[in-house]
Amino acid sequence: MSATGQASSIARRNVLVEALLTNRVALLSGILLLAIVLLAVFAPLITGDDAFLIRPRQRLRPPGEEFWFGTDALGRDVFALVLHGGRISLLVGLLAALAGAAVGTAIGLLTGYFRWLDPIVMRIMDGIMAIPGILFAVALVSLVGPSVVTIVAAITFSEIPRVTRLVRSVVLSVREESYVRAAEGLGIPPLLVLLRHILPSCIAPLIVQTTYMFAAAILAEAVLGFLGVGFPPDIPSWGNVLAEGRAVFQRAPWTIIAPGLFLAVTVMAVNLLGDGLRDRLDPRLSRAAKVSS
Amino acid sequence: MTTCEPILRIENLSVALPEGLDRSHAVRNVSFDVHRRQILCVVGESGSGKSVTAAAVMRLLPEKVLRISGGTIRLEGEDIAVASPERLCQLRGSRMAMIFQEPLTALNPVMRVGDQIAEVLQIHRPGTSAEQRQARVRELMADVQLPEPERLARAYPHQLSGGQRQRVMIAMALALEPALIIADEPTTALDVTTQAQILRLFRELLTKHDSGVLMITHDFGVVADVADHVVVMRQGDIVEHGAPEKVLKAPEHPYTRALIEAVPRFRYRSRPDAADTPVIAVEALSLTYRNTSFFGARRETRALDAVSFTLAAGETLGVVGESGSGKTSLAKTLLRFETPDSGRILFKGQDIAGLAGAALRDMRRHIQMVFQDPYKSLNPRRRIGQSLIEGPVQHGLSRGDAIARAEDLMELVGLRRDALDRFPHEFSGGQRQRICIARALAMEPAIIVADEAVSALDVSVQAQVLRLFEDLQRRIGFAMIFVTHDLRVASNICDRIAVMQRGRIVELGPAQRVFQEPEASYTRELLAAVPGLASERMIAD
Repeated sequence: MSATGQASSIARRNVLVEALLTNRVALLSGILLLAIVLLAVFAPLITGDDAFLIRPRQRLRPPGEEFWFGTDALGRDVFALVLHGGRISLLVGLLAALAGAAVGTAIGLLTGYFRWLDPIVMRIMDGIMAIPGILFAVALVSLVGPSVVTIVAAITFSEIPRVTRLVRSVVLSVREESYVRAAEGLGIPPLLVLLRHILPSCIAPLIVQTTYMFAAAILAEAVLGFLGVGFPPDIPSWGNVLAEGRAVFQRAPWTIIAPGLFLAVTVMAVNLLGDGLRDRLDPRLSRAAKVSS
Repeated sequence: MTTCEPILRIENLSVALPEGLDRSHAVRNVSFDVHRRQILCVVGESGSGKSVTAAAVMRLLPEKVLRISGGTIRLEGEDIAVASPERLCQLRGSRMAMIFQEPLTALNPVMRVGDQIAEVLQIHRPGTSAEQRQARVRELMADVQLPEPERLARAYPHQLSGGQRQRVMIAMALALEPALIIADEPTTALDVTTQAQILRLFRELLTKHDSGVLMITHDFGVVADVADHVVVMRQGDIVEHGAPEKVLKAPEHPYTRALIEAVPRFRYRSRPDAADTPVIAVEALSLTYRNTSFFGARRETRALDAVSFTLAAGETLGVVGESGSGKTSLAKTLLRFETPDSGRILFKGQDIAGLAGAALRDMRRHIQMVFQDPYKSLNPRRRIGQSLIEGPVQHGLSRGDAIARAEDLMELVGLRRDALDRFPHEFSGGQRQRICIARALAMEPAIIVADEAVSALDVSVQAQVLRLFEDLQRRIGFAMIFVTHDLRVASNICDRIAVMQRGRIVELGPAQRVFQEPEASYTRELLAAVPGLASERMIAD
C-alpha cells in the first residue's frame, strides 16, 4: 500500500519467546526440561551426599518411603544417583551441542562464503560422516581416558559435519541476496560481512539443530557409559548408572527403570522442543515466521 | 460490439480483509462486464485490489484470509461466487483459465511442455485418445505461434525463452476453449519486443476462439495497445472506467490523471556540456561465464564482448537492452563483483580491473550501486541507521560523524531524520529505494551504478525516485550509470545511451539522437516495441 506513511511501526517481538508461547507441546517440553535441569543442578542440596554413601546393609531395597527409587547393589540411593547422574549427562549434552554448533558454524560459514574452500572441506566432512560416531568415541575415550573434555570432544566430532552442511546451505543462498552484495560493495571485509549479514540468517535453523544435537549427545554419553568406556563408576552419569543396574536388573528392576525413564523423558522433551521451534522458525514450514523475519 | 449476454458479469463484488489492517476491504463494490471478443484491462498500482479481483473470479483466494463478503460473479449466467468446489474444478480450465505473470514458476519444471498441455486435455476430456491429444497439442502450439511445435513439445520449460514459456501457458489456457481467460500481468516479466508479440497474439486468439479476456496490468502502455474497455482501481474501489480513448485522453478522476501523468514518456533533458575529463574509462572489457557440468563438458557464455565507453564527471550514461544483453553483467563488472577476462577499467587513471583484497575494498567506496529490488537490498535484521553508517565507519569516519551524515542524507532523500532506528520492513518499496540511495551516497562516491533501480516500483513512485536521482545529481554532482530495460525511463534521466545486444554495445550516443534517429537496426526494433506509443500519440493529440 503506497499511501501508508513511514510511521507504521510494527512491534518486533522476540521470535523465540513467541514460538514457545504459541506451541503448547513445545512449552510443556520446555517446562519439563527446566524441571529436570533444576533437579540436577540442585542435586547436592536435595539429596546431600546420598549418591556416594555406600550402605552394605541396605542393598537392593525396593522403592519406598525412605528410598523413593530404591537402592542399588551397593546400597546407594537411586534417586540421588539419578539426580547426580543428570548433572554429568546434561553437562556433557550441553557442552557437546554448543561445541558442535560453534565449530560447525565457523567451518560452514567459511566454506559457504569462500568457494575455493568448498570442495576440500566438504570432502573432509563426507569422510567424517563415514565414520560411525559411537565407534570413534569409544576408540578416542579408550585411548585418552575418560574425562569431560574427551567425552565431549568425542561426541562433538561426529556432529560437526551436520552443522557444517546446514550452515553452508544457508550461506550459499543468503550470499546471493542484494544486501550482502551491497555490504561487499561498501568495502566491508569478508569476515564482517559473514558475521553481520550472513550469520544472523543461520541462527534460526541452528537453534533447532542444536536442540537435536543436545538430545543426541545425552544419548551418546549414556551409550558410552553403558559400554563401560564413559565416566568411572564413582562419578554417576545416567549411562553408567544404567550399566551397573544391568547386572542386578532381574532382582531390582528399579535400578534401571528410574535412570532410563529420566533419560527417555529428557531426550523426548528436547526433541519435542526442537520440533516446536522448527515449526515456528523454519520459513518453509511456517508462514508466521516469514512475516516476522 | 455485440450486445448479447456478457461472458463475465461482476456485480457489487466485495472481498473482506482480516480485521486490524489499514482498510476493511481488499475490493469493495466492484462491478464490470467482460464481453465476447473483448479485452478488459484492470489497471492500478500495488495494493489496488486488481489481482484480488482476478483471484476472486477464479475462486483462488486464500479463503481463511480473504473471503468474498458480498456480490455476485456470473460466468455465462452462473453465479460462481457460491459454486461448490466440485463445480469450480469443472469450470476452471474448461470455461475459465488463468495465465500468470511468471511463466517459469507456473510451469512444472520436470515435465515436457507438450505433456503439460496434454495433461489439461486428459483431465477434462478423459474420453480422448493419446493420438487425438497429441494432435490437439500440436495444433494449440501452432496457434500460439510457437516455432517447430514438434520439437518444442518435447522441451522442458527451462529450455525455452521467457516469451516461449508464456506462449505455452497461453496454449494451456486455450486448450479447452474457455470462454474467459484471466491474465494477471501476463507480459510484465517479458522484454518489450516479446511483450509486443504476446499482446498481438492475445488479440488474434480472441477473435479466433471467440472468448473474452480479463487482463490485469499496471502498465498504461499495455492498456493503450490492447484494451477495449478499461477499469481503473485504487485501494479496492473502481475510480473510473470506460473506453481507453476516453480514459487515457480525458481522464475524469484526479487519480487516473495522476497515474497517466506519471507514466514515463520520451523526454530529453538538456544540460550544459559535461566536463571532458572522464571519471571512468572502460576499454575492451570482456567477461565470459564458464559452466563445467558434472561430466566435465564446458559451456561458455559471452556476457561482455569488448565493451568500451567513457563516463564524464556528473554525466549519466543509460545502458539499455533486452534481458541477456549483458546490461547487468556490465554493472557487476564495474562494481568488480565479477572479474573481467580482459580489458581495462580506468577509474581516474588507475586500472581497477585486476584489484583484489584491501586495495579493492578501498576502491569500492568510489563506485556505489543501487539494486533493483528494494525489498532484498537492505538487511532485514538491521536498523536503517546501522545500514547507513556501516560503510562510512568501515572507511574511517567516526561513529558520531557517520550518524550525523546519515541523518542529513535521510532528509536529503526525503525521509525523516529520526527514522534511523527503524527496520526496513516498516517502509514501503519507494521509501526503501530512497534509503538504498542514501546508503550509496553515504560513501560520497564518484559514480553510482543503478541496476534497474526503479523497475520494481509503481509508476507514481517511479517518477518520484527518478526526480530524486536527478535532483541529487544536480546538487552533489556524481556520475551515474543507469541500467534499465525501459527506454522511456532512460530518456528521462540519461545524457547518453548505450544500447547493448548480446554482450556488445551496438549503439552509443546522446539520448535524443539515439532514440529519435537510431542508427542500429536493433535500436529501431526496441523502439518499435515500446508499449503504448499509441497512447502517447493519443495524449499528445
